[in-house]
Amino acid sequence: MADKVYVDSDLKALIPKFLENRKEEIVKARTLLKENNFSELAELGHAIKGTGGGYGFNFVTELGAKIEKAAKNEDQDEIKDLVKRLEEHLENAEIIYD
Amino acid sequence: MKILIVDDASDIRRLLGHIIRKSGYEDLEFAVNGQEALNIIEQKQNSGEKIDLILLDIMLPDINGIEVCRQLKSKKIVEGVPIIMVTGEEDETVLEQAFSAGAMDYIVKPFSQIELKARVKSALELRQERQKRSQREAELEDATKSLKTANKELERLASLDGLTKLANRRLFDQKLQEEWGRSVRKDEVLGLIMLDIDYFKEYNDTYGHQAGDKCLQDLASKLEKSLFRSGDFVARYGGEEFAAILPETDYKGLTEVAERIRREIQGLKIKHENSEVSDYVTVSLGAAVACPESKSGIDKLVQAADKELYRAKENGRNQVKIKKKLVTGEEEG
Repeated sequence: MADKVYVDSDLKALIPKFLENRKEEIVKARTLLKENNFSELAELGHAIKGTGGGYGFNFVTELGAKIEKAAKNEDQDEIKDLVKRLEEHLENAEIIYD
Repeated sequence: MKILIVDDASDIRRLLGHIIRKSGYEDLEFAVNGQEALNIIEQKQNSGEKIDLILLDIMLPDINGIEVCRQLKSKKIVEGVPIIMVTGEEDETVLEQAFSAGAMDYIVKPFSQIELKARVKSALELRQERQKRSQREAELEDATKSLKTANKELERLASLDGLTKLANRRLFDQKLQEEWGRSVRKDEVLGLIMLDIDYFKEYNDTYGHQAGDKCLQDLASKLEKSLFRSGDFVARYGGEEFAAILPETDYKGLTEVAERIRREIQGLKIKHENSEVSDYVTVSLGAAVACPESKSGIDKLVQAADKELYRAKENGRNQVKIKKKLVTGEEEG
């Protein structure tokens, strides 16, 4: 089941770089998780939240906000789950340019 | 329109750049942190470039965006340049700080294209209006300045006699008032000489009006040279009549000055074959000294000097007559 993401067609050229940067953030999030570095995780969540929606990836923004909140609560399991959902969402997303 | 975009996240910089370019603004510059933004603005200021809009992220890795905003605003080049804060959340305290640091607007991430475009557009419109206004203000200031200069020059010209470049009657009256008042305050005497060219009508009839004008000019410049004390003042009183105000000058002093003027004008040796008193142009002088006490005496002084001038004419011209008695406000006749 693919998540549909509606992206403004003139942003098409920017999307590959956008996806690449999010993948790097997922790797970074997992490293930070291992280190229990919640403050940087909160910052990362904040950044993800700010970036997603502008490109049309509203769910990315939602997950970023949740990661930020969970990091502030130092809820390791929740963060792990959210990062996994972010990864799956990006992998399965069906991008519709309109 | 030059726009500076400051954000540490490359995706945001790219997105902002993309949307703003699409709105038709091509001249963009980017900074990845606060220090870089400050450096760019500093460079622009030094090289005389301009900037029209700054989009500034609040959460920067080095210096807090609000502090960056404050520092930017203190620079001359950023005067009147709108700053839009780009913020991750609508925290009232943070926004209040941003506004007091000089931000004009803010936009919350994630932002929609429509919203961003609208805000950038209105900020740039504000910028243009401000520029137009300050240009108009500068123009107005220039106009006021040249008007003042013109007025001064006009005032000067309105006080001068066009032919002789001496003060005219208008300025003479004003100056006499001033000197009268000063003499009252300082309890000093005030001398006045009235002089008239002898047989000037005959001179004009003989040599023509152009020669007559030249004669007036030569006399005027000689008069100016003969009165060398700093307070002395000479004016063209009427057609061929001149007047000199001599502050702090008594009967003796006035006699010396008047005699000197008479001698020096005769010494110009301006040929006048139809004069009955000399081969050259001469003048008759009447003078009086006042001891000013009240305002009412001014006319009496002028009348007294004029009367002496008449006496000098009656007595054969080319001579000086001075009233021996001091003119005062109370005196009769």
